[in-house]
Amino acid sequence: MIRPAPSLRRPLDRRSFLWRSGGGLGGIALASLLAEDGLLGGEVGGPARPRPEWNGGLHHPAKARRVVQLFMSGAASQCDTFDYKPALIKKNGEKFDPGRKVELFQSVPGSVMKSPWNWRPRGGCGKFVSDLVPHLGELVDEMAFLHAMVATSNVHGPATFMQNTGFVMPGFPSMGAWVSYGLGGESENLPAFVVLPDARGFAPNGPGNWSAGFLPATYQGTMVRPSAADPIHDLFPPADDPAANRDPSADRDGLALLNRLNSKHRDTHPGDSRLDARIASYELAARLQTSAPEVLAIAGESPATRALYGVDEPETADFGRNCLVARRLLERGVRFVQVWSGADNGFPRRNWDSHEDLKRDHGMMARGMDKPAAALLIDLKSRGLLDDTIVIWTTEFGRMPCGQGSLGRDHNPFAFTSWVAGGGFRGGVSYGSSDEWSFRAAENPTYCYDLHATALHLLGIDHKRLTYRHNGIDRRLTDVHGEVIRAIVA
Amino acid sequence: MRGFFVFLAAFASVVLSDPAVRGDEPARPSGSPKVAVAVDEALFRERVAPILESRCVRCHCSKAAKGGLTLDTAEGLARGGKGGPAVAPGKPGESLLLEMVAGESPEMPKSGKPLSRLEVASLRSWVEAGAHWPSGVSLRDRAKSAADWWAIKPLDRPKPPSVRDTSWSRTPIDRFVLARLEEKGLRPNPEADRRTLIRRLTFDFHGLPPTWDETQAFVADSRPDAYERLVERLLASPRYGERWGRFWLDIAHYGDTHGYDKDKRRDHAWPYRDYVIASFNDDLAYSRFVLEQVAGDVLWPNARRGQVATGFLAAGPWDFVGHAELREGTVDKLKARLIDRDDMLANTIATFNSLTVHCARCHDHKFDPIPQRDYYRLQAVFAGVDRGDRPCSPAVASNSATSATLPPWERAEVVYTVVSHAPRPIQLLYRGDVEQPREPSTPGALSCVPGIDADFVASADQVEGERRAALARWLASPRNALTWRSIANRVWQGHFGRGIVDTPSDFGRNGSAPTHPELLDWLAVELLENGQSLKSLHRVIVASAAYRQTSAADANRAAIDADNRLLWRMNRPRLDAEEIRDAVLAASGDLDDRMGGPGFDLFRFKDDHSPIYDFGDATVLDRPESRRRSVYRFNVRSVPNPFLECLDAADPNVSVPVRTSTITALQALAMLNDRFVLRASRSLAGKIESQFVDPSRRVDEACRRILGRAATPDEIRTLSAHTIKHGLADCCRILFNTSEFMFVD
Repeated sequence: MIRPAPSLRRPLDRRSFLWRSGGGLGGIALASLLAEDGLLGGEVGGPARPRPEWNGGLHHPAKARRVVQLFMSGAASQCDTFDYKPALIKKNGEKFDPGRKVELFQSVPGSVMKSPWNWRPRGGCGKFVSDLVPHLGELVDEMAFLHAMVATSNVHGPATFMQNTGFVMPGFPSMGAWVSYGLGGESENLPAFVVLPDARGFAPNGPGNWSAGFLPATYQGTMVRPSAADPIHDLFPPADDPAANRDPSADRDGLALLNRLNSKHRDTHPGDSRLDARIASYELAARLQTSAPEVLAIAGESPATRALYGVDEPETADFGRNCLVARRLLERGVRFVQVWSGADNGFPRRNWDSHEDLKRDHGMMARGMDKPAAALLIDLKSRGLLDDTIVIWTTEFGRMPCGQGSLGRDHNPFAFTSWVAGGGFRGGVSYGSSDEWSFRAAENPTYCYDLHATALHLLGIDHKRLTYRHNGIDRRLTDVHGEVIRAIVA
Repeated sequence: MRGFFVFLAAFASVVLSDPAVRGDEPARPSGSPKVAVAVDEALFRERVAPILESRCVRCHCSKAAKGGLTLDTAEGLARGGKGGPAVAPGKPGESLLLEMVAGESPEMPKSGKPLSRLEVASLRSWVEAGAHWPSGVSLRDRAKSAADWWAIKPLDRPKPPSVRDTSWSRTPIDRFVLARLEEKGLRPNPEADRRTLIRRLTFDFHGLPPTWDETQAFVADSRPDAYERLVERLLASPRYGERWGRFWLDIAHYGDTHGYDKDKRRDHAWPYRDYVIASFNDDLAYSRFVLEQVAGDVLWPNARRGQVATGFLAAGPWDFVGHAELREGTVDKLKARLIDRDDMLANTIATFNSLTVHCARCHDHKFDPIPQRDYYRLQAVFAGVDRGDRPCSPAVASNSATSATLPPWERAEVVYTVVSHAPRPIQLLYRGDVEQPREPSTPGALSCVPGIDADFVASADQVEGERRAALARWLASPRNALTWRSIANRVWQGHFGRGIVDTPSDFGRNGSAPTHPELLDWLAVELLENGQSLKSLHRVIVASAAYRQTSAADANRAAIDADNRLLWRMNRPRLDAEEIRDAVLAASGDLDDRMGGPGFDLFRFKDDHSPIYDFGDATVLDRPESRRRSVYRFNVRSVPNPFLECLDAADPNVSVPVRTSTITALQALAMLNDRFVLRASRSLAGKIESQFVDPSRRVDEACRRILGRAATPDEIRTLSAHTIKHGLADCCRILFNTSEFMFVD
């Protein structure tokens, strides 16, 4: 950690300093520095800083220290993956009549459509999982399934916002931003919140999905694209810019010169901690230039690990690399990593939005996702990281048990499946259920608020007390909702 | 016995005066002798009742007995709630009420800050003394009482206070500022030097640095009115509207795409942006500015500026899929429309009246006197408003020769603005849920604002536009004190970096109180009485000694007012995102000052089912039109410009009344490595190298252009050494990274 200049040690300056300083990673070291002095919580009232005696928890002891979220963009089907319904097989091709009005996004309800994939019991718990996700199927004993997830919108944009931020409108902080606001990061050299978008492009809403919203920009997700020419924007001069070829000594000399100019300026403007923060920000930037390439360098991973994630096979290469980089980030102290499977709603399909041909498009998406996601769980476990790492697999809503056209499925916000693993969750259990069709939540309807509240709970955070005053309201990730789902907490 | 009780009562007052004292004294026997009662009554009336009324009774009264508990009557207190009796008279340690409100993170009150230690101590003393409740007294909720709410009190020009030091003040503003400083034993800073002043004024009014020549001329100008002349020059320049228009566009959450999924281009939104810039430059009377943006198309049906101005209502994000692709009659369609109207009404009230009316969508406002009913009256105002492209009447010009000279926005044939429909029926929604409609709502505004009729029922059955016209007139009324305080505060904020109310879009109880309430009123009246001219208000503000002082810090005064809320020094702002980008362009000599028209793309665009905006393409960034001022960039909602975003540019998805200003390592990387800075550094170096041969003169010129001052001998030496080794472009790059460049002074 950077040793703060003497002027930073004055408490009155330092609080305002926190809110003005920080940033993707500059903020981390600075925020944790302030947290040591108990100033972080001063803004929201109450004791709100990570406590070592609580395993880093904010309001109570934490079971988990970090989170990786796998987001299936476009709406991954529950009734073709984890929500087994024999009725769909039995009544395949019959009129879909769940006994109430069916209001669909795009289409009129077609007939009942069984999954194109077979189902079989898996693991010690015997959970039925389809052959669409065989690798994940092997790991059901690690997972807690939420089968009665409900979304309040059946439109991709608002619903994707909701799963990320708890609100259907843009402008609210994502879960990763809230967690970095509450806990900061554990690395001095890396951001607290890192996002790995799908290599094919952005999901609906774009980077708005990992925005800091009204929280200081410090807490927004830092985008890392391992397969791009410039994986982190502006980490180095762009590869095609003449400056990319500049002598390394130019950077070294330039930073020394800058430090000299900025120090002199600071000395003639005493009492302004921001000027110290700027000097520190260049030191942190230099450290990131060293640490980030190291995280992205997966060449040194063993052949077995590379094979596990499928990084050398065409279909799994992109998502596999992202999952492997996610593990490396988590290992090195990044608090929250979000990995996206699925890009925009373009054609040919490059996300899970399989209106036209479920078998073709879900098949393609799952072949890319299933093996690497399973690899991540296996790898985290073998390294002893799964115990205190929460893994969340989610999507914005589900898909209808009836057909759209003859081969696709329309949106289903009334029931979908998410699963969680590691980090203090029970394994091999299910919470909530959908009706016999997988059409609507039947028992224990669950919202993103409950999932978020539970994940925060395991991180040692009371979701009702992680607040930020904005435009007259003490905002929370969980709005005015959210119940911790005790049944899936170990 | 009597003496014992007197002693106890006296002890209670000690407790009150020292909140740190905890009551551990023996429990009091039952019975209420007379002397103690008199003291207890005073304790109840003066200390306890105000706490209960402002913090407890709203949720614990006969109308809303949360947890079965009522605290508005003696009977309710005695009965207690589901958790048992609220108090055990004489036994604070066994009283649930105290347990709920005391401690490090108390359960109650559910909203707002915990009770202060003094308040808790008052309740404890009262319980200790027997929790006496005077007979016949019943309490009522005063949490939201409008009577004593500063923001809606009628405006009256306050008299500037008298001050001891009569030599410092230049304007009445200074007497308001100095009086508060003198109360605290603080003195203000002396006037800043000329170089600092011209840099401050030029950034404040133009968002650009002064040129070397401008600075030299002002420093040498010995005329007594040199300062006033400078202010007039700056106010007369069209750069002024570009700077202050940007502030307004932040608040209006103006963007050039829809946002959400399928973030399509809004290629006809820019006329509104230009209208805003032109209105500032033309010094449009503020009430006219308000009227035009809410109902210009209705109030001036034949003037094209009215049609363009309502782009304000259409400026925010819009869910294309929800509106264009969802079928009529579905629940999700109702939700999409509810959210869309919410965006319009919340932004209208927040912008012009600085209130958080959106808090009343699901229930009555928890802090301010805004019932849910008022919220749905506003929904009814916008019940027939959609957004979209609309043909615009051709420019009214005497002949074709003059129409060609009109600015682009007056010639635009299509504008993105409000599209009027027959009003849809609006009902109050229980808990904000479209599936739980209650009674029908008629159009209206906020009932808490005194002196203006907020019921627009007369316009309820009329065409859509009449509803907006009624709201526009309500907002623009000189009697709506919120409107005038709001804009006066925003103008002040633009100069001092922080408003007199530092929550400029929330004048409610959850917002901040004004640091100088009388000054705020004085400024609001000044604006109203000077033709509602914002430029006049600027003149008055920048003429003040408060504005002209240095920003130098001082440990002794900081110990009393670290945040500088009382303005003993000028604040020192970091340049905002657009200022940094524009100042880099200005310094490099590449700034293209063409005004208006469609925005320039800083990305490669690919239209698709979901359009793609790629900011990584070098060829796009280096196009000549991308050297225009940042206010003219095409602002994409879903994919922010990474360079400007990391420098804290406003997110067009939400109204941004105050820019945050962070300092991060990612900013350092952006300033060191971004294509834009690298290109500008090379461009500037090329110009200097073609002009000067002497290496010392070259680095001196780089300092003059980038920092606005000559290089010191030491700098000439170190910068020359760097330049010899790594080139002048790299030297310029480093200068763009200095704190001196990034801060106004």
